[in-house]
Amino acid sequence: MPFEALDPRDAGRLDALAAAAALGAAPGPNPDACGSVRGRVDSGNVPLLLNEVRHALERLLANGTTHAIDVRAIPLGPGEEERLLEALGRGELHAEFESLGRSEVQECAYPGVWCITHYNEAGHVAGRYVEVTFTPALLASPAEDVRTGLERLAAELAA
Amino acid sequence: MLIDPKATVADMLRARGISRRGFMKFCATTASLMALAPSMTPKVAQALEKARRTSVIWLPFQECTGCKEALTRAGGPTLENLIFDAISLDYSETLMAAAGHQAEEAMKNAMRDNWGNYLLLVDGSLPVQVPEYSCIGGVSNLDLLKEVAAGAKAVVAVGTCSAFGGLPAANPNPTGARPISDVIKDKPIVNVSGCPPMPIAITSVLVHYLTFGTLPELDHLNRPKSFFGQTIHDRCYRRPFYERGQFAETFDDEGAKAGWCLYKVGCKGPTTYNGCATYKWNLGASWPVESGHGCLGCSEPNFWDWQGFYRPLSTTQWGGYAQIGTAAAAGAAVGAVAALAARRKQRPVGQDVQEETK
Repeated sequence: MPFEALDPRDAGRLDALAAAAALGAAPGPNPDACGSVRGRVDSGNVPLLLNEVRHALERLLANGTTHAIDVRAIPLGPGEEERLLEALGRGELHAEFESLGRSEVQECAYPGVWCITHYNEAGHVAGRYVEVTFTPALLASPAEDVRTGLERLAAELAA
Repeated sequence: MLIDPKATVADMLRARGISRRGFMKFCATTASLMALAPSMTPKVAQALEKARRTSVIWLPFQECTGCKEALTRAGGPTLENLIFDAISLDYSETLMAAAGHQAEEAMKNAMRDNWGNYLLLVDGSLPVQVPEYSCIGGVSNLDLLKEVAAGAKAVVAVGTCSAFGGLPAANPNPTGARPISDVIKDKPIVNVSGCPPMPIAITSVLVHYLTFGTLPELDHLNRPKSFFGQTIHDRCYRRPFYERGQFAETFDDEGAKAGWCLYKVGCKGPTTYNGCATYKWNLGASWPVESGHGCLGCSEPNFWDWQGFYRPLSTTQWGGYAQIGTAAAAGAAVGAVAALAARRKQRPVGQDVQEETK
């Protein structure tokens, strides 16, 4: 079929054609019919994710199993990621570190639930995760870094 | 700083002063990039401890440079991260500082030093019918591709042009443009289609090869399943409106303003395999449907010619609404005539019995 470039303003013409061919245009839209609010669309994934967190907390308490959700791998509508973070809330502990850009570890309002955000060197979000664990691994000092630090300290003291 | 060709990715990051914690951050975002679960981060770390930087040669053919523009907007890792830490981009006319003979020498050296192991990335289609339409330094794209592909481990066709022919191959295809897979038959080919492809899809293939030494699992069109395994429709946040039959009828009506399904204004989401609905564009800022425009189907073959961008999927196979209406009316008329003819041949009930008993 040859390519036909339709002017998007002609989209309304399709309605007229549909009516003429007696296919019947759908009744005019009523945005309030299903309770949707203009500008807010709900994929339904936020409550699902919160329930996933709830189940993960139950397993964490039962047998210490940790869980992580890659928030950026979930299809969310406009504003839903913000609503998810709002629902998780902020807890007592906030930590940041700088390596290949800034990273934030924020305990949520529900202890054991952590929101970890990695930024790249340009300050854009490179990854966002919700972890369910007693302590995120990122907060612990890795043995390799401890060894490197010890060598530096030893050198400082010897100088 | 001269880079040790035997240095692993972990070595490169350490040399830049990145701590182990920073390396684990790199591994976490790398796992995301490959659409792996966060729990795979330690395995990615293990692999990157041993992974050496991969030599990459990028050849541009009949293309608009949009695919490279997309890659320069990659966020995690950024293109800079990739180039400095993960890959050795040994030839890319758009991005490299060298030009002319110096650039060609860089490519020849990379090919010689990494024969059999470099990745060849290609964007743009091939003017097979008239090779002279696209040449670099007097050498046709066709000849250059064959020469460089001979020593490649694999070929990554970046963008719909190199994967399927794209815009140059659209009707009437004056240059006889063809995809890479029509010419290269003896190397594995990964098609990262899209016009342009999502940056994360491009970097994902590179990182997968870097991390595991293999190509990702591919679909029937040789596209990575991690990004092309589901349709836009499968993951679209407007799907609930589709299910409820709530559609925007025009781009500025109340349904459009309320964010309803864009099927009726031509969205090709149901037949398009891509990851835009999940990973979005511009570092997660938005994507076409979220911005109010239907999916064009740009990661599918022949999307330029296949159907009008603003015709609903249900009408495009059979023509416009008027044609459907005419066809329906014609079909009804034929059916009516056939029924009348059959009716005339029927005998009244009981007539058969009366005749038999005479």
